[in-house]
Amino acid sequence: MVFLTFAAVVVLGAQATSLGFIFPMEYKPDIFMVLVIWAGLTTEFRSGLGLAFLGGLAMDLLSGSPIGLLALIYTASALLCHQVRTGFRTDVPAGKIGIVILAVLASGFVVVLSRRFGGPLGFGWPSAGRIVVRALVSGMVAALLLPVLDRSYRGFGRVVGGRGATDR
Amino acid sequence: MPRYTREIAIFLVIFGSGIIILFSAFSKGREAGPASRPFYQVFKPVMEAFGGVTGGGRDLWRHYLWLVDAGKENERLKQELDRMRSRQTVLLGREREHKRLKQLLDLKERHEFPSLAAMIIGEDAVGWYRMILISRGSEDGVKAGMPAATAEGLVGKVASTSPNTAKILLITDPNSSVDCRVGRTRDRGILSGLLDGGCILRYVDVKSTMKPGDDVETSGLDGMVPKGLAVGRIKSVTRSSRGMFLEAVVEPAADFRKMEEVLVVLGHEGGFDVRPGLEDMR
Repeated sequence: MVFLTFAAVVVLGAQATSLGFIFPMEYKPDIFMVLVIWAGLTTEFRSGLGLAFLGGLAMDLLSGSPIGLLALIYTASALLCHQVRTGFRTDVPAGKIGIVILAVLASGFVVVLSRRFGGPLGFGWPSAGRIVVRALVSGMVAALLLPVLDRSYRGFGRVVGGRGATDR
Repeated sequence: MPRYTREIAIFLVIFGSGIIILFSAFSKGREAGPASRPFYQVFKPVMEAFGGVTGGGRDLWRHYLWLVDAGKENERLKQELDRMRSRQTVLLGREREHKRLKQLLDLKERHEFPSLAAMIIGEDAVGWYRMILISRGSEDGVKAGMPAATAEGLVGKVASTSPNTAKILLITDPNSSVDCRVGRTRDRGILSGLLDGGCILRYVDVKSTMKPGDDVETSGLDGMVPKGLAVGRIKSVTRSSRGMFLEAVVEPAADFRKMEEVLVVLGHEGGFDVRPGLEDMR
């Protein structure tokens, strides 16, 4: 849980500040979703769920969404990851990236749908195109970030002892 | 209890808590609650640290790696400055004339409004909302609804506050709405954001003669945003889907990618410039 807490703080800080320097706001990748998916596939169920829920609440506070919306989205993603892990092989990198892309697609549609109820937001191709591009960018970032998380977690395990790379 | 059932139960408890938090968020006020305040206080230095590192990288890029055309741009800017100085002399003269005419008509003089400078310490974390976080909050006098601007024009309005930070909803967010006027024709409309980062001025009278190139400014009629703040410039004019109003795509005056500080315009008891005859009712 210590590793997840530290990773969450770094990812939240980067998501709210540094990423805006590299990516335009409308196509900013959701690296916190990458962390949630990685934790759901790698660490134990309660740790992954706790990260998703509490981290999601923190993301709500750092964004314009109503408090609780992103927490619910990330929590549902963490649960689905856990279900996928118990039923399928999830150590293939392409599979993990595919899960990230699908999760960001789904979260994008949920957020746009929730905004549609709140105001005159168009729900045509501009919204859908933005969601798709964002999901693909998140997938590309996941391809770089997932190996870093794996190596960091293994290194952390060696330094503090106890659990190794995967907790099942 | 079997492990699978236990996990589902844990998930349902957490998900149910999330639903309760989400629905209670709609009925809350716009001041941060007791659980959120410590989070902002703890996380603000983290975001400022990340922002400092990012700012250093940006400065390195701008000042050392991007100086190829600095000399030419310097010359161009000097010429433009000379032109602006000449224009300023003419405008100062017109301002004096305008003041005299206003006194003759017995209109109230508008004063400079108190404002508070704030650093931008973060932006919307997920990217689905056009929002920024600033380094000032309710302890500094910032309240929800107050407008924020840069020297170029209106940036947005304060959406919510915590003791030492505030969230500003930008005018480019689809949920933003600002009462505006077209500078030349004086037609009113409501400005809101578009997903591609621009703005749209809706509900303009169908008989309006506004055209691309016209400036858009705030009307001051909502009582919170001062009158006459630059908002942007019209790029195109179309009819609304039902044909009852005109709509104009507006390019914002403020450059959202480059801004690092904003001015929060603090309200005052008399409100801002309202329609003649209603001033004494405030």
